[in-house]
Amino acid sequence: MTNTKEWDMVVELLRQQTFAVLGTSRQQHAYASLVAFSATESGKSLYFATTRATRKYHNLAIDNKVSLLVDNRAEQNMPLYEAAAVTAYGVAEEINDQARSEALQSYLVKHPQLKHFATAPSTAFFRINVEEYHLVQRFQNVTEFCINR
Amino acid sequence: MNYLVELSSSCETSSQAIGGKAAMLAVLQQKGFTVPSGYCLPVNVYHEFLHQTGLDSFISMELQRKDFAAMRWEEIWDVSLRIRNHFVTRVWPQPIKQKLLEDIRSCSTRWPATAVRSTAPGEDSNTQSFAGLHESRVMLRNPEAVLEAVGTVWASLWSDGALLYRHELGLDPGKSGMAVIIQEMVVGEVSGILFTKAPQDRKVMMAEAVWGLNQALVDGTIEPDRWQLDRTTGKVSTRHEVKQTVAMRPASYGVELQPLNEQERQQSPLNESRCLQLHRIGCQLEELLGAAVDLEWTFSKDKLYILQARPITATLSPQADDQRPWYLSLHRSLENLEELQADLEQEVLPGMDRDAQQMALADLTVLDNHELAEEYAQRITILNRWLQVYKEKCIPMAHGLRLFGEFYNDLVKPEDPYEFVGLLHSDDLLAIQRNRQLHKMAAVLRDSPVLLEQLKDNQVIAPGHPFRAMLDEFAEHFSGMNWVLQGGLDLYGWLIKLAEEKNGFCDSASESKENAFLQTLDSAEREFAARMLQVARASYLLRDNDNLYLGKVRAGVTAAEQEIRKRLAAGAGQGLENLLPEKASPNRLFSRDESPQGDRSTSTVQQRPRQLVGQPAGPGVSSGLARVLDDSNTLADFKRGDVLVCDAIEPNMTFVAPLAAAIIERRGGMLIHGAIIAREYGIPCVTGIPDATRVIQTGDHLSVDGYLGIVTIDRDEQ
Repeated sequence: MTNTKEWDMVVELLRQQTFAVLGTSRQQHAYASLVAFSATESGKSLYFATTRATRKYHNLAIDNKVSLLVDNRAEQNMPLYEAAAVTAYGVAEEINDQARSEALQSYLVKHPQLKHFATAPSTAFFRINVEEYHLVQRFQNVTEFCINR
Repeated sequence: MNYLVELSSSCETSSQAIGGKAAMLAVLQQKGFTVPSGYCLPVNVYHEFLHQTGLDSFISMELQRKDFAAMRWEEIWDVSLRIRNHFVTRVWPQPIKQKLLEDIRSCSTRWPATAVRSTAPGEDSNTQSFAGLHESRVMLRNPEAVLEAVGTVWASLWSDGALLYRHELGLDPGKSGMAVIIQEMVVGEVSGILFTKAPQDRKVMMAEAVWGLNQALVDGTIEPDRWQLDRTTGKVSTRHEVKQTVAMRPASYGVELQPLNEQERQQSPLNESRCLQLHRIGCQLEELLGAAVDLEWTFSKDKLYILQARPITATLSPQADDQRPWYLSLHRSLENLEELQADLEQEVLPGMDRDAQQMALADLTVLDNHELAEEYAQRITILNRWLQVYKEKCIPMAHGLRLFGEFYNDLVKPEDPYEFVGLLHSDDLLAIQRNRQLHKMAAVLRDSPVLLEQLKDNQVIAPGHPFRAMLDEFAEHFSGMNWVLQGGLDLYGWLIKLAEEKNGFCDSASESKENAFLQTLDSAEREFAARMLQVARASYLLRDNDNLYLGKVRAGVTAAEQEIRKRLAAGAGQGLENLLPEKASPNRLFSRDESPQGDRSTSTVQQRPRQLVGQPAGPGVSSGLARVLDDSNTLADFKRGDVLVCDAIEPNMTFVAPLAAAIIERRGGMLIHGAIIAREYGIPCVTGIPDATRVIQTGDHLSVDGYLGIVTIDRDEQ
């Protein structure tokens, strides 16, 4: 496992934050939506849930390449240099098999209040297989992480 | 009054609101001590100003741009200069300006001149002393000047010395604030400092005194007379008198050093009567405060005024490795810098040159091994001596640049805090002269293929040939500069390389802006500005040239090392075996495996930097392939249009600078050698990129933004 303060920051953001902005695309137009997410310890996979009627679900059915922005915004007056954000790039896939129940279990540890929503038959559960993370901190410092699969 | 609070009515006010200095003066005034009359501008007005102008977020941006602990002192200077310029250029919010000017008018019109002094909460307690770290302004003659001085004193909360000291004490700069004392300027005939317990001998009192105002004593421009007094009786026990010749006195523009008259020259500013008065006041203050005190005082028309008093900071004994006193000593007055300049030009640099010449002339091959060992030891001693002189004299001279920068920024209020650098351009930089001559010779070779072939074949150019004359002239002027030795290229090799470049070389043109600047000033300011500019130019020039002279001395040591290596390699180095330092293997210092931030390949995650932030040190935007100088031999591979990436541009490496598309240095600061050279050639430059030579690889495609100090590693372009 990589052991640098930058990677630690990525892991911390994934662990601490509950919501993230999911980027999908539709007819070559970017589409952003807020999702509740969780991450595996290795950072290789991210999970989120959405109902099948949503725009994002339709978008994913056509193009499953996504990005997910996780940041540490807490208040409006937060100093710019304390802001940190990590963008994950990868491919999303709906999981329905045995993996779903394991992933869902860990997802619900982070979001117990979403149990009803996440387990509903109309809800799709997605895994993002992360290829890269881009961390931005101290306003302009950018570090990339390639995830070897 | 809207904002100002009279000192005499402030003794109940907390020092958190008006700062320690003002709180102390208020108490002294209430107890009947003679203190110049004055007012305090509380710290809440500072915060109101910051909030209304948005300066608070600018300061936060500057302070958090880079980890403070990772900054070199030169970078801290830059942070401080940029914050100061935010204060200087910020437009005052109209309601604050109007109310404050009204206050200043109603109090200061009674006074012939006004002084504005810092009084920061938390300073000058029993455990902390910010003495000398914040600014004061004296001899201000109109309300607008007083208002402007308030901004400057506020800005000094962020002086580099104050930033360093707060960092050392673990104080949060973000929580700092500054109150200001606005008081009558008392022009004393004799001024000084009284220590009720002398720093060197706490059993006695010590009075230090100069003629005129005490600014010159505080900033170290004039050495004072020092008299020791018996703590019980006030009787003078020891007199240390120096021959004072000048005094700081009011001038048409602020204050200036003026010659003493004959009578003053003949006597000490102290006498027994003055000492007795000082002793009496000192004892009274000790009793009042319950501690030993430092007391700044002045005698005006035989009346003794207390300018400020503070408890002696007993717990701040300096650590052996504490660099703070040295950092603080980098701040020099104009007069002090003028003296330093003369010393450097007349003694130091000629001395370095003399030693270097002697070493260059000595024929090491005729020495036996014992003599060579002695010669090598002697050369190291000489180099170490000059390195010490460099630290003590050459680096402080760099302060001339900043002194002028602050002066220029105060007057011109430019948006770019480094605009002043445009006035300092000099064709006299040795590195520029050397590069120009190299390129002149390369141009001759380019026009003469026969001559070029001769050089490639390593043929000797015949005496009398015009090109031989150019080579001889180059050798005479720049001999001993060990770039040839270190670069892994001989002079011929480099000339051939330059000649085979498709494009010729153009010197950057820099039009002098001196006249435009000076014409904006009135005659009093102009004279002072001309002196400032002269010192700044000398500082700029010496900042570069001193490195080159030091390089020549170092070349003498290198030559001896090479001779030793040669003999060792030939098996003829008996007695020389253990003399040389361990030579680092070329890649050891820059091994990516040791990098804390370089590529980290593991089975799961591979980390690589994409965008790095440093200090903008040379404006412009450029891109190109990285050439990382992690081994001096790679200089040979350097091509026009490459981006030069290095730990620090050694003075003797600067001949490649004109070919670079951009320069990136790990070391930070606007005053470092590489930044100076980059600006001279108009090359985008970013300094202060942590681990630059580790995280950037030769061949990486880089975009360099010299306006914002950002380097982007664009792997998609590769």
